[in-house]
Amino acid sequence: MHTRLNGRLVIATLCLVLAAAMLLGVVVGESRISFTRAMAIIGSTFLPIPADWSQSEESIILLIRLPRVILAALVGAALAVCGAVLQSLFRNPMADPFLLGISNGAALGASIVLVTGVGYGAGILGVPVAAFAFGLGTIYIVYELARVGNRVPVTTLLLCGIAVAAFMSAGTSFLLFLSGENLHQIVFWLLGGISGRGWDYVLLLLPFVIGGSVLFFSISRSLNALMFGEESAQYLGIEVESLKKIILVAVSLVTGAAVSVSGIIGFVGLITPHMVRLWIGPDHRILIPVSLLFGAILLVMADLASRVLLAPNELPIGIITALCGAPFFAYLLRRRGREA
Amino acid sequence: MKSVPVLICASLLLIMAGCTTIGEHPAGTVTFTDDCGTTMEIAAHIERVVSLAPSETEICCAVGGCPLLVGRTDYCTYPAEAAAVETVGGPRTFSVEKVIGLEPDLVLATTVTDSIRVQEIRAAGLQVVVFRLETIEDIYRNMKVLGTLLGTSDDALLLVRDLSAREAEIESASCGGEPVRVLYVLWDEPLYVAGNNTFQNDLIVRAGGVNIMSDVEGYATVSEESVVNRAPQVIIASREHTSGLARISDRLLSRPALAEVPAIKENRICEMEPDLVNRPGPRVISALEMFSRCIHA
Repeated sequence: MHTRLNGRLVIATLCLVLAAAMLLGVVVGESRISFTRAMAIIGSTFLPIPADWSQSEESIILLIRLPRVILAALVGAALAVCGAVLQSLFRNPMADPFLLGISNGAALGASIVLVTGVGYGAGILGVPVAAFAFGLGTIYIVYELARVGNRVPVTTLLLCGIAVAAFMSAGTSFLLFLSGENLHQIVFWLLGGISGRGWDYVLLLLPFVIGGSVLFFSISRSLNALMFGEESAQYLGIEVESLKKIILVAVSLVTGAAVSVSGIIGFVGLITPHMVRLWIGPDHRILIPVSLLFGAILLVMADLASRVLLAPNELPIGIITALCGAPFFAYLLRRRGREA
Repeated sequence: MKSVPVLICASLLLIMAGCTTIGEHPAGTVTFTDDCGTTMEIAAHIERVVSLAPSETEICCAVGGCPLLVGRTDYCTYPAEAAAVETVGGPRTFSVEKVIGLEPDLVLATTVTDSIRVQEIRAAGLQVVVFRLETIEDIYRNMKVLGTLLGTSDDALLLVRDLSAREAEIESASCGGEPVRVLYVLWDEPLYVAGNNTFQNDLIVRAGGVNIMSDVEGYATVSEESVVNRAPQVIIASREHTSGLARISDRLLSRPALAEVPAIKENRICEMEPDLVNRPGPRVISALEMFSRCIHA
């Protein structure tokens, strides 16, 4: 009972922190638009506020900063929650959403479009659609390779993931080699980023993140049981194999959607659930929503840093997540080691 | 403004005096020091040339050295005469063995060429001249030096005189008046633009514009917000190598976040053949002409 209450408090606090972070993301930027003006611009979308600002200020707030902050939150939430679920499924703290080669497959898909130009006819969505399709295709190959009859042994799944991921990234490297003057386009995609994506991408990702989160939260009790091993979970009446399938499909869809809009943003999916576990313990009923919120906050702040630190230059966000995340993570691990 | 060509000539002389020295030797060779300070003995009469950079291929052909060319890179496809020559591979991935096998008297490279491969070629006893090409003056100097080495000095001088006359004409036509705010875009997602100390920046300024990203060093990714905030009046975009289907300019035009940018509102986006701008070669004056036309349209 005590942890339940504590969990609710933590979740409520994090919701406030996320709201504050997003507000900060909307208010801070190169063009100095005042806080009240920024709020008035946002308010004017649903309230009759007379416009005393310029059209460009309105574009900056409503079409650049706002969708960007929301997209950062969605991508961060998606990666963190998928990381949390996969770490539980594999009972391995090294697991992250990119473990089974989904990012390598997505990178290959995006690179093919960027190098050959095939699919550009589909307009702005050519690259994300190819990334999504290749990401899911990769997971499917890994799954089929690892499948023994109706069972999917976890170790085989991980090893197949490594093999297929290596194959896919070799394909991407080969395309990089061939790409010549299109090199920078692929490199940008590989570095990851949510710059200049706009509302289209927000709408693209939103259903996946909502659907995935609801599903993961609804199976949090089963995930708790799974922590004691597949056999024990089976005795508790959980259909482990079908649970595994559901998780793999859902994680693939959510991660695939996130990767397709943002490229490869590393570390968020690995460290967020880990940090949360160290902080609030392993109960998935709390772990899942807290990871989701924490991932969202982390990426909103990382994105803010990426565009403010060297403005008007924009740093690839993946550099920031790894640069700040890795030392902090190491610190947490060391501290826990000493306490134990 | 009249004094600009004079200044250019003066600085040209200074650069030539400072960096490049050519001295005759009795044994049929000349002593030559390239832009990287490497001194070498080069045959006075050159018959076989391999170029390891598209810009060097274009310059070599422009000064009348095309018939001497026996090797080029995959990207050296201009002029058509050069495209018929055997290739040694990509500009950064070429085969050293192939270069040596072609037995050139002279190998042309730039500071962008892989220096480890250059060392390997030199170790095999071949002469590699490395040129530094960062400004239009560098190109003129490269032309004159190459003309001297290949024995086509007259052609080279004529070419430089012609190009600098065209350049002076553009620059004098585009001076005066409020400078136009220009943005040069190499890629749209993320926005990858030309900042200070780039060839494109040089062209924008010479054509009478001001680069809105001149506070950014080199090529860089910038935020959409900075573009909206700095409100460029003209956008020049690199045409993509990949496909003609979706062009950068179309994608920029259809981007809602940029709709309030003056250049996009008034549809003042020009597309440039990337080879024309990205290669510091003889066609750079044509690029300058296009910049000028675009900026003053």
